Amino acid sequence: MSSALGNFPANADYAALLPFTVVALAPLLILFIDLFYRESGPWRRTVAVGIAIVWLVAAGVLQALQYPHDYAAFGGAFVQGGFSIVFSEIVIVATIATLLLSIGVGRDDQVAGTTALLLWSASGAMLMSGASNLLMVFLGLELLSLGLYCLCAISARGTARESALKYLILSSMASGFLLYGSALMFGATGSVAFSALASAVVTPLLALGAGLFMVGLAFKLSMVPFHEWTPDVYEGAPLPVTAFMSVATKAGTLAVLARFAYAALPSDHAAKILVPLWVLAALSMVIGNLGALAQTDMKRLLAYSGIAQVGYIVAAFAGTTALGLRYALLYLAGYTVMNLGAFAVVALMSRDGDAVVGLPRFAGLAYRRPWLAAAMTFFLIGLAGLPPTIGFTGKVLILAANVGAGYAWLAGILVLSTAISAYVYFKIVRVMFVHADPRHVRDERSRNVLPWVAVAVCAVATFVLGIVPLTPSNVLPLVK
Amino acid sequence: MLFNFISPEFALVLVWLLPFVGGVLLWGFGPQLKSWAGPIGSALIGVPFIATVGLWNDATAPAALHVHLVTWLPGWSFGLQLDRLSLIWSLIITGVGFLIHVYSIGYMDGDKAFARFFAYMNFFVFAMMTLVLSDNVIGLLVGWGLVGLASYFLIGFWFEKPSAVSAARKAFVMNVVGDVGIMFAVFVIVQRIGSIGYADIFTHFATAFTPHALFLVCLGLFIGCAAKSAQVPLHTWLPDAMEGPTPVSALIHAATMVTAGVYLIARFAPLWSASPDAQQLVGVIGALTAISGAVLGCAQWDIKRILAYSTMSQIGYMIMGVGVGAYQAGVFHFLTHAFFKAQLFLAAGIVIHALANEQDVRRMGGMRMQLPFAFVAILTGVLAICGVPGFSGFFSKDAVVYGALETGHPWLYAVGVITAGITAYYMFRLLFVTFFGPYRGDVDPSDLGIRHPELAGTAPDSAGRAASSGHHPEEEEPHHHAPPWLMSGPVAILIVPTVLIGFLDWGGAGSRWQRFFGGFFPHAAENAAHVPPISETVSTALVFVVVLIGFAVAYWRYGTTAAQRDSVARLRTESIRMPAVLVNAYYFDAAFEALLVRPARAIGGWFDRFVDPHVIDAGVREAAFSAQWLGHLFRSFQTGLVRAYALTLALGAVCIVAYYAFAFTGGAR
Amino acid sequence: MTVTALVLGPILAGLVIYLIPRKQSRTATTLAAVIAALTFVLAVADPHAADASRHWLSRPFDASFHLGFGPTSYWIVLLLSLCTFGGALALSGHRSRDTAAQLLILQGAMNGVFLAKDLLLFALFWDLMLIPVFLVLIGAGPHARAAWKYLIYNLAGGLALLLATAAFGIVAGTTDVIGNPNAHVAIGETWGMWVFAGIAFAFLIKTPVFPFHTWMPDTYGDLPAPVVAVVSAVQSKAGLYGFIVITLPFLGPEMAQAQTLMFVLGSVALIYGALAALAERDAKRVVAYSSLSHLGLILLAIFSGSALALAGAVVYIIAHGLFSAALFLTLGAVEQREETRDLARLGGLGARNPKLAGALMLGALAALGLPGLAGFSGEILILTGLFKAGFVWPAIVALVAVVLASAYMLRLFQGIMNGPEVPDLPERRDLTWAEGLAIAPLVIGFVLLGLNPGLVISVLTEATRVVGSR
Repeated sequence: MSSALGNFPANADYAALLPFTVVALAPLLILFIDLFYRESGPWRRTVAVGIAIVWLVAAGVLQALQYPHDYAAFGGAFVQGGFSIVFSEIVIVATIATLLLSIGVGRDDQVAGTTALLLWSASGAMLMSGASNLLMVFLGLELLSLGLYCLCAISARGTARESALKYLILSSMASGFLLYGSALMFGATGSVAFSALASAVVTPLLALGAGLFMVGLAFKLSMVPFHEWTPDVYEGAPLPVTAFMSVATKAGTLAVLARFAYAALPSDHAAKILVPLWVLAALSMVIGNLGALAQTDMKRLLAYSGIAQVGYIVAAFAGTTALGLRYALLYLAGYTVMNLGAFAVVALMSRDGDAVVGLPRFAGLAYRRPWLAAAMTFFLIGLAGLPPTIGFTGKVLILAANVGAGYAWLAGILVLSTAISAYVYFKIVRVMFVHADPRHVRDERSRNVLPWVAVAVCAVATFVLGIVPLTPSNVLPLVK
Repeated sequence: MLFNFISPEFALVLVWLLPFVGGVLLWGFGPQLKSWAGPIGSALIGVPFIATVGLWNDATAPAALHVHLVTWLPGWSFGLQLDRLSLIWSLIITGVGFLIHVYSIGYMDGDKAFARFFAYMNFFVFAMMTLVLSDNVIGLLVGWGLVGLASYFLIGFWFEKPSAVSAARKAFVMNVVGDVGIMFAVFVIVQRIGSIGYADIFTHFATAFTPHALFLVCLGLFIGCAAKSAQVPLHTWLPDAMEGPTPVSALIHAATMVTAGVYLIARFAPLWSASPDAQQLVGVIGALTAISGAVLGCAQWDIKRILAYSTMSQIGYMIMGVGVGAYQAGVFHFLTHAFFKAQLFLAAGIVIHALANEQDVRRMGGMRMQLPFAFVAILTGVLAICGVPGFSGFFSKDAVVYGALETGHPWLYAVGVITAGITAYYMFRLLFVTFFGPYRGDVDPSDLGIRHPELAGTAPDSAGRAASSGHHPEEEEPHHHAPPWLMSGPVAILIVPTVLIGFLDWGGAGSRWQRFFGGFFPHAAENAAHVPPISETVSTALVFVVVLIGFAVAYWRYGTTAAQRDSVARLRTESIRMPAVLVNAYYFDAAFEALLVRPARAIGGWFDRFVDPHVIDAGVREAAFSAQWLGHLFRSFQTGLVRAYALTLALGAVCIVAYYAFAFTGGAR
Repeated sequence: MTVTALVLGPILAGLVIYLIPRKQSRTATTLAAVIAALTFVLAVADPHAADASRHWLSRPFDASFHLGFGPTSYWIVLLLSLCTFGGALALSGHRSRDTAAQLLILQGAMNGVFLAKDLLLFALFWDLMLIPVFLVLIGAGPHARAAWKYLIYNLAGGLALLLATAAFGIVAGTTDVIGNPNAHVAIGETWGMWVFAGIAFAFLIKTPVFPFHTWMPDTYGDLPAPVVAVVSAVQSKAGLYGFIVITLPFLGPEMAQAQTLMFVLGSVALIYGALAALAERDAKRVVAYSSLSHLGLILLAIFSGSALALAGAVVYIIAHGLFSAALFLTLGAVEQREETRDLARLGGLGARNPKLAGALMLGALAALGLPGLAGFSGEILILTGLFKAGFVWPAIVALVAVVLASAYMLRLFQGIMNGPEVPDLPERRDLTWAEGLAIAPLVIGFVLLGLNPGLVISVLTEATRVVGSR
């Protein structure tokens, strides 16, 4: 374990921070340009989003170039390498997709602001995916969250403010747990570096700290029983923000969780310490899908489905095996594209890209808008874990990893909950394919065609990943 | 070889396939062929007959005629074989079959499904030939099933008639029971011998079979016989089968198909000879069938049902014969019976035809004036079946009855003799009531004691024809005209063998018949080793006396001038006084209905309408519901109140803290 | 190449058919029929096609996209293309474009199941099969009940199969084993029973076997007849085929342990299905229950461990496919003419529709095991094999089922075709040439197979290799 830290010079290595810096500085530029506008117009938002996308792409390319190497900054507090890059690439993809969806949302003069906030949140998630000590984790988490608090409230909908406030309160509470846990661990070991924790001798204090720390993360991942805020907040927030939260937040937090579980715990007691995590995963899988059964609003439904999907991903960590981590990453990537695709479809079904879309709106969609229905069906098939999608391949691999790691019971629960989820997703499929009288269905088309790009890309990715499961091979060494 | 220009093997395949070609041809192109269907159908039976005659020498050669067709697996090879036994049957099937086809041209004239009729008839001949020509037990089983199918088609020929439809289904299902029996025999054979060919079976069975296994084989085979040859208790389909047109009854349900059981036992003679238990069983069943059929024959009013029960009884004789080991006698009775029973049916058909499809003998009478030819035909038939010396039945029946004695079954012998008397009674009853006395067709049915015309053997032909060809029987007046030559011709031809064929067996051991089958049936001699208490001559005399008694009773009740004068009143009283047990044929049908059919339906309905939806599905449904319910439950937790959420958050955290407290402080100690 | 085309061709063609406007349904169905015919020609033309294999996974176990003909699957593929051809021709109604497309996708997926030589690939196509049938069901059924039943039951099975496959791969190190004689797979005591249980669960549901059968009558009742023809003819064989090529070679001991249970289930299914069919009023459900009975027989054959019975099982798998497809297509023609499937309402059609009656008669005869037709060939081989292997009572039970089969099949035929004509039934024209063309190949098939089942018993060698010649 000492390998990772030992190799790094103490002084900050700017290469490590470069992609993050790029994303974090873009908002300044956007806001600066936005100052010069007096009157608003569609090009105003176009410029803002355009710049954001360009910079994000740039950051993504930079990271991709860095992939083979590994860099560290702040004395190893922030480690940039294969592992973190995979996560932050996912964050970037999610952010770009979000921007594609959001271009039609909100007032013209707000777009620059929302875009900036979005980028800062994204940079927070990137920071988390590279964070390898407790302070950096907290920094990233708060950077991520602060942006989201505002973004949730931006919508004109009445429920938006309420849900934003709800999110603020509960999230702060969770952050409190996280902070307290960190403090306990620091008290137990005298260090905030994961590597130090890993070498420390285990005391109840350390274990307790780890537990509270994980509670904080579980909240951000909206794992059962820390999930209850999710449906309300998702429903209240603007659709693009919901999409972002359902992917980027989880990606960043999962990165921390993975690093914590794999690299920050004394190997001899890791299994014992992590038991609650698997229990939470099991609960999330089952209860997430059960909860989704009763939903009729798409955003709430996808919120619950997200709860269950995170359960699958965390289940892949079970036994903290190398393969488990790979398949978790693979499934996370798959979940990202499938979920964003679904959100994009929903966005295409409301004029302003942000309306409450209930299940009835899908009635007879296959007859009115066959392509959209086809895309949605494909994403839902993927989320339900049927071929030919990454949903299927990813699940098989997670099952295999669990069985191999001796967590067959978790695999069993995963299969069971998947069976439940089939009803959730195919209920939507059925509604789309049952013939409905168009006069009784509110049929809106988004003015904004960019989500189509997201749909297309996500669909292709969902299929290709399913056939060619990319499992990055040099992830594990760089956890530490 | 009669024809030098084709090989006997090829000729045999032709004999086998021509009727099939005919069947397909007529079925496919019947409407186009119109009235040509009849002649074509007949020709495609006549040619095989001639060819079979031509194959006589090849068949009677020591190494009989063989053709290999196809091999499924090692030990499962199929082929045709024409030896002496199958030769006799083939000749009857094609010969009598041909005559009946010709007769049908006249009889079925004007039926809208004329072509379909001949298609089915040809198909039947093909199936029957498959049965008797096969050289292995599964080929035989195939033929066995196909004749059942043909019989199903022809019984239900007028398929608009519910009675015909249900009769057809009954016949088919009962015959499937028989098929299943044979399948069971096949299991044992393949298990022990590993081959299905007759040759292998007969060479190996002695070593391969334990007595028990041998009995099982014979039992399975006999179940097949019982179903096909209407042996008690699987006989109930045969009387109902009279729903079919009369020529069908003559060909299938009298001359050929129903005697397949006799063929089967004769074919497997070696096995039977080796299993005394089986012989005992079969002999008893045969005798039982003979007498019970004869008794029921006395209680019928429908001319065709009388003949049907007499067929059942006569087959009982044959089965008894082959069962006890008198194979030649049994086969010989089949031969004679094929002629005289076919003739009786065809003659009866002439009467029915002439009386506008009336089949109730109570509404006939005095026919000998209007239909002298039919009278002669039926008379000779009756004399033959009763075994009046000189007529064919005399030789064959005596052989069978005395065979029972020779093989040491005195009780079966006694039954046979008594049955002969009863046979004489009901056949002469038929003759007197139909052809003597006044014509009663114009008498009100109720005066004749016909309570339920539809039950008391109403004319199925008429109803069928009505439904089938549109015009109703009551429209056509009884025209007592002479039958068309197409119908009388075949009957006239049949009279010859009916009278003469018996002389084949003239001269005891040295007779042509004995020589023909000399040594064909192994162990036949050992079976007949017992020394009978009375000589054959005495037994013959005894039988004849009993027959005379039977005749006398029939004459006294129906024949005397007094009886003829007030026949109406007498018939009325008789029909009213008829014992219910006889009218309902010993309640066999009722028993089957109550014990098998209804329970099966009920249980099935219970499975379909209760178990599936309310037991098996219930579990799944409950699971689904509870999932939904849980979903709504969790939704109800979703109060939207921050404090509630915060509370759960805290509770969850507490649980986790508790876990660590226990896990690690416990672990620390 | 050939095998890949057999799998991907129909799927792509199905997707293309979705591009045809709904109005031109005739074009769509014709195109579908042509594609199906082409797959048939392709398979016939290249019976010794080389396997197509591309590496897929190396971790956590080896898996590859490995497709190829097997001695059994080859015949099933031919059967499938015949059924799809018939089904596509028989399609009609306003949804027929979509149904045609889904039919082709289904064919491709099922070809994948039967041609897959890799267990993981097998599982993939196994789950893929669900989707088109579900889509047809939600489109066709008046209420979604049947669709949900179909989905939940079969997905439960599919997931069990998935878990078992994962375990199989972890334990065995590879899933690229199907039809590979020298693949030495030892699952071992600890895992064997679990893996077998998962796989068997999936197969029993799909077949289906009592007591997992309740989804079937509803599904067969609601699906349009042309699709049922394919589903009941081929999809119901996926499980039995799986038992033959997956569990028989690799999980032999477990099968031996489960033998008693399977014999109980199979025998119960035999009688249960037959009796239910005897009492059912819905014509399509009658045939559904009869399938339950017949497939129970095949299950007995597979678990008897007798080579003869196994050969019979293969024959009967093909035979049942042929005649059940023919039956369903004919019943579909009846339903489409008379707008009802109720035996109590139908009757007397034979007089005006001789061709229709002939087709139904042939199908019913094959189904009730008339000697000389394919059903009989399969039955007699299976039963003889059972008896030879010492299973006397199951064989006798099966004989009872044979008698019952004749009863309910004749009831079905006579209920529709015989008896006096029912006045309130619309009088429609007899079988059209398209319907005839759809049914004819199947009839020819089961006649030929009845005359010489040796055609498909080439597999017997394989069977003996697997179970030894008992």
